[in-house]
Amino acid sequence: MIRKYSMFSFLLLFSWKVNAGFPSISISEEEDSLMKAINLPEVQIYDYHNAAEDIEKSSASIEEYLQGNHGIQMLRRGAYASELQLNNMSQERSILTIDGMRIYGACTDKMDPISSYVEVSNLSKVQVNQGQFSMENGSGIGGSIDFTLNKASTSRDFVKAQAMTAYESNNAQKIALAGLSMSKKKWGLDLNASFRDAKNYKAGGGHEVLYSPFTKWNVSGSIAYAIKPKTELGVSAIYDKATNVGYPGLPMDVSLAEAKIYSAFLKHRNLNSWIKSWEHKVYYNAITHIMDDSPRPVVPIRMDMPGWSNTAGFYSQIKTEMSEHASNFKLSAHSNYSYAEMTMYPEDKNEIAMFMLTWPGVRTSVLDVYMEDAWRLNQKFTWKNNLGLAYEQNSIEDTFGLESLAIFYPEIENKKKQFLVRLSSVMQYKNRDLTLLTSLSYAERNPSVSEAYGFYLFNSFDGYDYIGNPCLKKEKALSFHMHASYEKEKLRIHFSGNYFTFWDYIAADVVPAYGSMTIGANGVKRYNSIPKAYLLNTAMDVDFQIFSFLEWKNKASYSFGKENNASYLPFIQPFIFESGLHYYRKDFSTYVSTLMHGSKKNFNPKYGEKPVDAFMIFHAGISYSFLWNKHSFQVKGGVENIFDTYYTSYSDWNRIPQMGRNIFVNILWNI
Amino acid sequence: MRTIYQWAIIALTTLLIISCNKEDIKDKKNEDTFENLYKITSQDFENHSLEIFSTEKHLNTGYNSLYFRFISKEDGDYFIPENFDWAPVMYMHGMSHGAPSGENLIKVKPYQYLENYAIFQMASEGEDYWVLSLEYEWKERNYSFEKEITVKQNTRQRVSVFDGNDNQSYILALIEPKNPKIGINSIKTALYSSEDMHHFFPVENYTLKIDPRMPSMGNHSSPDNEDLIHENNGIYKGKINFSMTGYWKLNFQIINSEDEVIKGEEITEDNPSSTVYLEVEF
Repeated sequence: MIRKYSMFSFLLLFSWKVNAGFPSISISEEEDSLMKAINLPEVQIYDYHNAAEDIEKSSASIEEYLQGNHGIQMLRRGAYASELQLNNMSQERSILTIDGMRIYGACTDKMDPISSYVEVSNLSKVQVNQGQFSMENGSGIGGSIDFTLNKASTSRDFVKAQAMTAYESNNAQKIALAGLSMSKKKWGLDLNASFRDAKNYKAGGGHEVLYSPFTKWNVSGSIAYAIKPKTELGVSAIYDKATNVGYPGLPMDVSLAEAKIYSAFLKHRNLNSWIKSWEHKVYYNAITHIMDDSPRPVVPIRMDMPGWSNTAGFYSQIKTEMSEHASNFKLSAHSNYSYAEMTMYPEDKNEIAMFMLTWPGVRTSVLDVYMEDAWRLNQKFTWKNNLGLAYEQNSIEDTFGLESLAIFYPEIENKKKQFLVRLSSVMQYKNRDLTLLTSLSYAERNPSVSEAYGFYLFNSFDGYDYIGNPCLKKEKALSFHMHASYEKEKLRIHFSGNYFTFWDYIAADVVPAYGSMTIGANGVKRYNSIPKAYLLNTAMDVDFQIFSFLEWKNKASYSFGKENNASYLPFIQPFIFESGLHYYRKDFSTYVSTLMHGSKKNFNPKYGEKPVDAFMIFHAGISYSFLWNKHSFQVKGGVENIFDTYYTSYSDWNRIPQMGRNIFVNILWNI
Repeated sequence: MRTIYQWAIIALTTLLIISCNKEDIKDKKNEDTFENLYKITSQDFENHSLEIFSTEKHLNTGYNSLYFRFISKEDGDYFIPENFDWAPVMYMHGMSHGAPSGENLIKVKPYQYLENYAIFQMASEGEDYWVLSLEYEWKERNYSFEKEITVKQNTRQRVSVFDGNDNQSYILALIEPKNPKIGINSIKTALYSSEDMHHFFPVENYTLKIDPRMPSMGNHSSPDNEDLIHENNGIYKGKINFSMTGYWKLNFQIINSEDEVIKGEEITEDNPSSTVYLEVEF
């Protein structure tokens, strides 16, 4: 039974168990349930306990982990905190959550996607939902990503400790991770800590990329206590702090990016024959992000740009199973306050420092109801439907901020309400080797804080100051998805494609009448609704199992986007091809792989885009596991960008070059 | 005896209370009108005194509101004299010149006083000093005297003196915003022309084109400002928007009723400032 539905899950939601030597500690109790089989993708998680398959480097950041996935792109502004994009859409169009918790970045320049506030050691898995298949965490158009945390669990009996140390030659990055987890009948504990410290990286040919170092600390802990055999109470906290983070793609760096993420949950399992789980969670998180230009010797004007974002929320989620239905109901609410300011210091010390609010103290409050049902019609067909309704209210709470925006919008009101709908219907056919899936979805989203209320936010890519537009209409999209896969013993072929039609696509237009504020800027752009836009994403995987120990994996993808049928959408991936040969032995594995980007010709100068040349790079790595004094060890090593190619991609902000040759060594230890 | 004594105490107490109340009321009146004003100078006569107040602690270069209060010493009442005339005069190196001022406005609430303003083009410094010369008539007697005042240099330019290409001399002074804020501010200026050193006339029906800039930050401007148009008696009103706090230079172009530029240049990349400008910092 599970086997039958596992493919369905795989196609709907890609998921990784993020390893880093930290195998998942919390194993779900619903493992064999219908729900699990239909909704949750764990079934397809790589088993990283098997060293033969675990060949990826363990010291990778979250972004590096996710980079291999079709449908996920990285907008890179430096060596740290790349912006995750789903289906070639900017981050405002997707819902990113940490364990179901909504977190809003505190940076007006998108330098702190929420993935930058967790570390691989915090996570048990990452769920990537490439469309509207499972939008339980909110209204987004491009899809959703949930970073599932490692949490303490009860009712089992073990003590585990792990540690890893790693070094990367290119930017002299030193990495250390350590974790401890314990589970007893009544209680459980999970603790981990990590540290990364990197200097400037070097592009191909040994060219040092200035202002690209970073230092990151992360500690997290969780405790669970079993009140009753099937009822668990727990608390969890993460403290993440990055300092001295360079952004070579931007005119400023970051002196501090700090997140405090707290949550408490109460979970009932198997309440009765049909309620499989019922979970309540309350959470709070506070982000501080301080942009700073002091590392830069020459700047047009010295400035500080701190931002703060606090979010409090809760959810209550019930998962049920009745005959051929597996359902999921979620009621959630959250409230975020985002505030960002800018202080500029004139050269003439007799002048007062200049000050303004770039985010005018915006409160976003959302109430959301979500329901989904997967209905197994017969052995071959499964039909899944979902519906989500959200009520969102935005208000400007800072008078100073409201008065600033009144310059552009004299009639501005400090409150705005919006009702958002999302729904999707998926039909899957599965025969022995063949799986076909089609879906039709509709989704809406509200403008982000920057899009609605941003005040002179400088975009260094196109060189314009951006003004938010509080009168923006909600963005709407209808999307069609299809997947086809054929799997035989030695051959696996997957094809997937999706096509989005947008209405009131939010993008920015030049307002010639307004002069720019930032020194050297080209002018002012204001967010507006483009009546219509289109986006196509296609991807294909072909894997051959040549021998039992040798596998050849290939991936290719192509995307295309247009607005109003005329000009191209920005930051759309060109043709990409990846190929890798993987060799497995019992305790030894090795791989060579290549990544190729076609040249980018469908660029749009309106958004500051320029053509990008094609490139091809090569990687290789080995992994070896052994026992020593009854301790399990794993050593990994490899070379990325073997030929030290100097290259840049379509998604490198201001075309900063990517990393040149990098040699890495990881040593993992398990008790 | 005892009763008389008691009565006396009651009478005294009542008197005290009444007088106290009177004092209180007077003080309250005083606070109501002049609570935020500063006394600049005063003059004592045998039957009355004159006090002059302003909104700032000191008189400064630029536009200054002035409040004249006359108090009778006979009954403590405020009064307004007849034929009141006054003029600020600056003496420097044996020469003298005046300053533009408005019409005397009679205020009656909560009591009588006179309101006016003076636009000082320069500060008192060393041998150069300002006096207010005043004359008026009260109770059929003429009073005439001069009173020295100190005018301090504003740290920012609140007044601009320039010669137009119509061979007239002009004085432009900033009245509002007194307390600029982020966002939309209404702006008010006074524009005078001078025939000689002592006679100033309000300039009417011109247009004052405005372009606020931040020289310390790439000389950027702000959006949607509205040029100043004539309201009355040489007072011009418009709208100015500040997108951030700090030092703003308000560049002007003075345009006469025939649409000719009398003075001031457009701001371009090569020309960061107009010759006619005022300054604001907050």
